[in-house]
Amino acid sequence: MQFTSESDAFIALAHLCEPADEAINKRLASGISPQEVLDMLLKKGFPQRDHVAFAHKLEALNLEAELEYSQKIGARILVRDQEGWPTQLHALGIFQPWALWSIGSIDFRVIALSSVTIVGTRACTPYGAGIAHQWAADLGTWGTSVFSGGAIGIDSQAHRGALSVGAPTVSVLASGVHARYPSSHEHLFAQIIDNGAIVSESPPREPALKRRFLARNRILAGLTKATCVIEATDRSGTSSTAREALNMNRIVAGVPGSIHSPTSLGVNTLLKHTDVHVVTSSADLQELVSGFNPRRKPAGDDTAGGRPSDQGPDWRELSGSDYEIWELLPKRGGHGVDILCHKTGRSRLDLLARLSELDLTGFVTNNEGLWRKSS
Amino acid sequence: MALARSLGAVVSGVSGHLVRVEVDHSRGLPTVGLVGLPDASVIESKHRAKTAIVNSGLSWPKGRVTISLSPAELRKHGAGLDLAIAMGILGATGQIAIEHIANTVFVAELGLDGSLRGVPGALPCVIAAAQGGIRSVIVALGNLAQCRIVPTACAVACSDLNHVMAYLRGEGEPLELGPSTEPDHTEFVDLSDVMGQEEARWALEVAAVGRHNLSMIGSPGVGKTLLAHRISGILPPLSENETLQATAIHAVASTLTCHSPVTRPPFEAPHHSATMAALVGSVHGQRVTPGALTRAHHGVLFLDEAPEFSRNALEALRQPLESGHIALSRSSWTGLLPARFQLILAANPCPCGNALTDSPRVCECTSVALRKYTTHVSGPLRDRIDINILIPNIRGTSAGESSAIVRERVIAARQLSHQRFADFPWTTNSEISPASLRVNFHPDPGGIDLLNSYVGYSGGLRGSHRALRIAWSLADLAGHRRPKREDVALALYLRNSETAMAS
Repeated sequence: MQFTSESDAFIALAHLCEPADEAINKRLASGISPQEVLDMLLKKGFPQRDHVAFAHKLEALNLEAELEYSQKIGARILVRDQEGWPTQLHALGIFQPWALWSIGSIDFRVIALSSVTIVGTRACTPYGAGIAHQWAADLGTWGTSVFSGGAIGIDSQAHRGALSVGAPTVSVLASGVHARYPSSHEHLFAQIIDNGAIVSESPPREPALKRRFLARNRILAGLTKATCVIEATDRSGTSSTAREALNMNRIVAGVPGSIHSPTSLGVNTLLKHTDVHVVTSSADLQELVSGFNPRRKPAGDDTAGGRPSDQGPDWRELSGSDYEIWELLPKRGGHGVDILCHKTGRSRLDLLARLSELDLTGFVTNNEGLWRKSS
Repeated sequence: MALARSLGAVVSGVSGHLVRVEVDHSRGLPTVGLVGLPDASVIESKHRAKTAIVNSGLSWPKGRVTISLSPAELRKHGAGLDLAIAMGILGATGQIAIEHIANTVFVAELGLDGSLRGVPGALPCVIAAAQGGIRSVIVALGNLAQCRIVPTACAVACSDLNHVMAYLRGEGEPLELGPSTEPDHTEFVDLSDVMGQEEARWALEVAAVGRHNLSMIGSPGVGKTLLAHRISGILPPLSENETLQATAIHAVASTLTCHSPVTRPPFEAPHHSATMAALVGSVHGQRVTPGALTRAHHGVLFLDEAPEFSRNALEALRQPLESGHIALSRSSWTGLLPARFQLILAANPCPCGNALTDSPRVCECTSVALRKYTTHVSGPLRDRIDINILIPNIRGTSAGESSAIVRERVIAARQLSHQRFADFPWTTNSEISPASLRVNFHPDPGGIDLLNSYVGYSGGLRGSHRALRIAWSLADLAGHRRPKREDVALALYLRNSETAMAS
């Protein structure tokens, strides 16, 4: 099959070869057109490659039908260096994707202008999950959209946080935009499509193969101005996103965690890198992305700089006895009810009843039987 | 040449049915015909009856014997009809007066020497006799203890065929029960064995008051199983009617210990490898074997390591939790098995058991494994659990109150709810209908306030109903006439404290 246009040839490459193929990208970089690369793949132009298998794959590819399918599901196709290509991906050098498919209600290139990538481990702890959700919501209200990978754990919490304040969010997937992985997030993906976009360099019906996750990370890092790692284990794929971002001289930030927590090992290691910023609040991250700190009030202006997470309950509303309990609680860690019984001289049930109500109204938080002030 | 009638009974499902045994002795070739849908075990009856009669020194009729078991369309199984058939034959041959056997129900298996042996399911047969208006029942000595608890029937035990004949003629005394030799192990399972864990003990007490379903999550070795096993010790004893039903079920299932009646709430703790049939009950021909759910009727069903049970087995809990019975449908038997139990679940926080932050070791579960584990107990089933508690690793060193003290409080609280439910069909707080919760059993104004804010907050209406039922149990324990604001607050805490373990 001969491809008349360069863009058809790039889309064919995306269908036939794995993304971020180094040998192919090197040929492309040396000025060989994608049509010629396809031809070389067919005619033993790449030693050590099975050109017969490739010929069969090429034979089986019906590009017209594939394009029609993309159109049917409402997927938009962007081709490398053609009209509409997100130019921030030039930073990826020879490893730019050949094509990008996107579906959704919003053009991801527009919201990428003020955006941050939030990534982290799938096996997150309540610590990371809470941060991801809260920060994504905060950034959303400040006009910064959150990009992430749609996985369980930190990724989904970040998406949900953005959605919770009605802010657009973009999910860059390792699978095609129509074979979305993980399938248990189908409901979340539907919300993201309604309120953002889903992007992938694999054709719509491609499954999420293991190596595609690593390749996907470079796009996540490349699309946004900054990348923030919230929790990552020692050997996490998340670190690769951060590395890609560092290679492109993008802003990379990490949220420090306990040195004893295995889910923070990766971030803490990352933070030893001099180019990585330590962020301890959503405002820190917003300042990195946009250059202004939403929580620092400009001189003489009392109204500007709202702090979304400050809109919580006000302790001044508490009654005397409730205040006494609340005041006793630490901000971190927590006290068991036994300690409170001892300190207040009140009965266990009496205290539990008060704590339960304070929990409902958002003043205190219960973590595995330890009570602390809500942050 | 005569016709005689005696009475027997068979079990179908877990209830008994009276069977009229008609025996006709007529001239003809010496054969025995047995009609009325007998299964293999009933057909064998004629061999046992014949040998037992001959070996007891009585005479087997010459000529044609026809035995009819009525109602004819009821399928009959089990060896419990042996004695009724033998007595019918003895009546038809004039060896005992027909009027002596016509109004007595015989429930026993015969040995070849004529001795009477106990059968599983004798109690439901006696209940059926009492419901049929027959007071006189003869059983084997092994079944006597359980059958004595039927107040409207007079069950007596005999040793063998000749003894039965003598008793019926008024010439012999029935056997009496010897002193109980059953060792009582219950005193060795006491709540004071649990060190510390005041909150979990309290949750167990509240659950016992209202028969609320309870879920416990905690690290391995923290005392979940220890606690669960101690709930029967703090539950009030069964009422007379409950004892009858529970004993009948255990009689059919052959799980009575030493044949004495079930007077304490039964406690069933099936292993997590249990199959669906082991839980809901199985049918072999006409014989129904009640499963663990039915054996836990009026008692407690404890599922240790709940997420390790098969999904099918767990989902099978939903119907009985909602309706109090299992509608079992098999090709040879279809019917309802009672299963109104209190459910207690115990689970680790994750497959490796170390997910809680205060665990001595670090959780090494993959995200997928963790997700699979925590969602294994499905949402609909989770929704039927009233009290969710998290048991922290903090270990106490002080022994708490003993079961007897806690049980007294539970009984006192139960009495309050019994008085309240005098005009209602319920016995415990967990059964109050949603409509009544709004109309008759609402909390005081402070409680209503708090409940409404909870509904708006996250709970949903259904969750608030469950919380209110718990609040009633708390009010009963505290002696409040209506749940106060603090009762509702504590109920909301008990309903949700498990979620303190996060996402």
